[in-house]
Amino acid sequence: MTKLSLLILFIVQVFVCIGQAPIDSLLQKVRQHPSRDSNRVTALLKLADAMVYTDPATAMRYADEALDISEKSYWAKGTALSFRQKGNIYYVFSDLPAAMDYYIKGLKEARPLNIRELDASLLNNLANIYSDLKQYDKALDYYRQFLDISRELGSGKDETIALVNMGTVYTELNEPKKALECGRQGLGICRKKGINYFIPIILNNLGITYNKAGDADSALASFRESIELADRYSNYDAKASSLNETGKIYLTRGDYASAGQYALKSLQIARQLHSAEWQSNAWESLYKVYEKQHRYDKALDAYQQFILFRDSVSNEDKRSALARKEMAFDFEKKEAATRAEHDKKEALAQAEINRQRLIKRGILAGVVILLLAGLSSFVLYKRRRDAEERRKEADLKAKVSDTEMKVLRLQMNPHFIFNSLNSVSDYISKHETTTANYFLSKFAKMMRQVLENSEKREITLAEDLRLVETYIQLESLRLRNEVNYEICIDPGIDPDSTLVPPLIIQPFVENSIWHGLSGKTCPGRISIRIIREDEMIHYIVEDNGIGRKEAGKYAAAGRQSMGLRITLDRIDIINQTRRVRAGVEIFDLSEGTRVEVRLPLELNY
Amino acid sequence: MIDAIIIDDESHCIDHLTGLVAAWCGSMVRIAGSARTIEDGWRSIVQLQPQLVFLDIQVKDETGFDLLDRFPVMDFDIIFVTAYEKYAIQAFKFSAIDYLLKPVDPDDLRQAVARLQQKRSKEETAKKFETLFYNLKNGPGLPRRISIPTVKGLEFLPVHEIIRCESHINYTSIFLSSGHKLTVAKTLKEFEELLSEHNFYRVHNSHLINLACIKSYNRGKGGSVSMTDNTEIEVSTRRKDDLLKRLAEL
Repeated sequence: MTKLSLLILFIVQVFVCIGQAPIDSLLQKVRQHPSRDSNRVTALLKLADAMVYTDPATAMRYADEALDISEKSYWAKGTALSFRQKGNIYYVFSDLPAAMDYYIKGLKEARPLNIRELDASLLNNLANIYSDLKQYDKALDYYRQFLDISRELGSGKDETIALVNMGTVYTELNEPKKALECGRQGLGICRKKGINYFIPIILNNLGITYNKAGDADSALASFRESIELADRYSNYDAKASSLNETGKIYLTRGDYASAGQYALKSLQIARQLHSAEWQSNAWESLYKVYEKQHRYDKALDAYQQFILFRDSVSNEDKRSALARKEMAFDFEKKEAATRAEHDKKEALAQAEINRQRLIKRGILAGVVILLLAGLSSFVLYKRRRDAEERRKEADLKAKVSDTEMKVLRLQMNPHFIFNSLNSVSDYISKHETTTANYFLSKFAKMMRQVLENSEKREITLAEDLRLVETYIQLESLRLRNEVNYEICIDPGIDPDSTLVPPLIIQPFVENSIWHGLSGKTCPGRISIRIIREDEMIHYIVEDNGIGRKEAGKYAAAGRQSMGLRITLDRIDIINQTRRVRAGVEIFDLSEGTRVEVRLPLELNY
Repeated sequence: MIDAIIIDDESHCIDHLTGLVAAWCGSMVRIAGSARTIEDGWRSIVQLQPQLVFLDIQVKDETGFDLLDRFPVMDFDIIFVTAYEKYAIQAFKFSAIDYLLKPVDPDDLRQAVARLQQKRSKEETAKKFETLFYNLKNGPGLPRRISIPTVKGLEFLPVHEIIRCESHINYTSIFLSSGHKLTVAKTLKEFEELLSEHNFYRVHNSHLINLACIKSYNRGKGGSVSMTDNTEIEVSTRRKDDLLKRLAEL
């Protein structure tokens, strides 16, 4: 872990070192740009960058001002740079979550600007933080993005940084093959492009990785090269580390003298660097060497030094580990909160989408329902209106036919009255007053019945037959010859509840008497039968008169057909309004005539 | 032998009726006199004290009922003789009082005279006349009361108290709003003829109902009606449409 932190610090330092200049001159530059513009922002950020390690608090103030100016002037690049600077300062403060926050803000701001260098630096810094927090997969992910951009930009230094850092992560993950691959690639690039400063560190890291993988010879070679080049390129951290690591290898091989020499060299450099860590490491190696050489007083001394420096390092380490743990915890908490918030937002958004979808569907369904309702109510309305019209039409038709019927019935009356008056006149001329009087009063009574009944559209069959009977009785009084009559009703017919149009058969009975029977010398006979056939009733009127042909000779032309014509007209109307096949048929018998009238059977109840 | 007088404003009617009586029931009735005005008629009745009066309804400007008003107690029988006067005929029918229509049919005359022989209580006759006058006083409108010959005697009822009539072949049961039930030896058809102008309607072969006493109509093939006395009366299929039409008119 110590190696890892070394590397990361190194990376930040490299990053921070970009555009390094003396603080005073930078401060001068800021003062040269008092107006709040992009020049001042650039100067402020450079100043803050230079002060990151020496005075982070003041650096933060400069960065805040830069951010404020950038945001108010809507200068996106300045905003992004300010965020990055703040992130760097928080990193130095070891406030990793805050640093990460600002890096991410910066990244968001930088992405649309398409300044790849800016993206690259932010991605690297983010990756370093994840690496610190031991979230290696995320760290690798960011390093790879950083690597891609570096290659795209052709920046060998950035590419090297990415590869070295990835190598360190792979070493931590115990994947030496990948780690070595990364180191070798980085080394190749540095050599090709002459980025010499990094070479000792890469060689040192390679050595550590080789040693960890059990390849001590390769490790020693690597360290040797690192030490040589460290002198040439003035990289003393790398030198101290490599010297001590070499000493450790000799110690395990039992070459205590060499081990002691390397440890002392390392200690010397560590003292120059004032690095507690390197001194601690060197003293540890030395104490182990002295112990093996049985120089116990020196060993004890070295051990005491080792413990001293270790404690200071481990205190530092412990502190930083604790801080890191807390940070990791905070970070996770924050991340969880962010995730929860994100989830909540997403859920809310989803709910909103669902709600809107529901509303849309609701509206659609409403429209469809409305349309359907409108359509169906229109159809219903139309159907109802049509039915109403049909009913009205039927009513009108019925009324018209009723009126026609009434006219016909009323036409019946005078026809009947005049015929009857003929009978009365005939009777009076042949009889004495008393019987003539009797006849007349009977006639009046019948007339009253006829008038009453002709008011009605329909009367019961019983009433109709009673009237016909009265008529026959009256007429038979008049005739010289007796008239026998019989009326038979089918048992399937109830005369009291069967309705018929009044006096339909009267003209036929009249014809039978006047034309059929009056010409006869022997007693006449009229038979009226009413039978039922399905939904029809049949009147059958038979007489034993002289027959139609013979009667035609006596009768005056046309008169005979008067009552008949009216009856036929009435039946016609019945056919029209009731859609039945009512009708009249006349048959000539060997003696007399038979008339059949068919009417629809209509019941009263 | 019954002494009778004829009151009629037309002499040929008097002559005709006199002739008919002589020819068809001369053995039972003797025409003692006649009058051609109400005044003369009243005098003749007072003088001749007949047992029977043939009374025309329309006598000049007066009516036969004006004559009867002059007698607080009637100790003679009356046979009304009238031409075609619809409202009066309805009144007679409702009061169960005999009447003859002009020109008089000899057979009807004989029957009317024969019915006189069946002695009736004065009380009953008085009741009949009371009903007649009650109905007539209400003018030429519809009669309000009906006299019904039950097995126990005559009942006089306001028409609106009848809820419905039910046929039992030759008998008819009449259900009243008071909850009573009368049984009459008349066919339902006769009641139908009397009452159909009084908003009564025959909904079924055996039911005649007062349309004013319907509570509700229940749908069905023919359906049924609930009456105010909580009975449910079946409506025949053929009557349904007509009934609904009638109800809609109410």
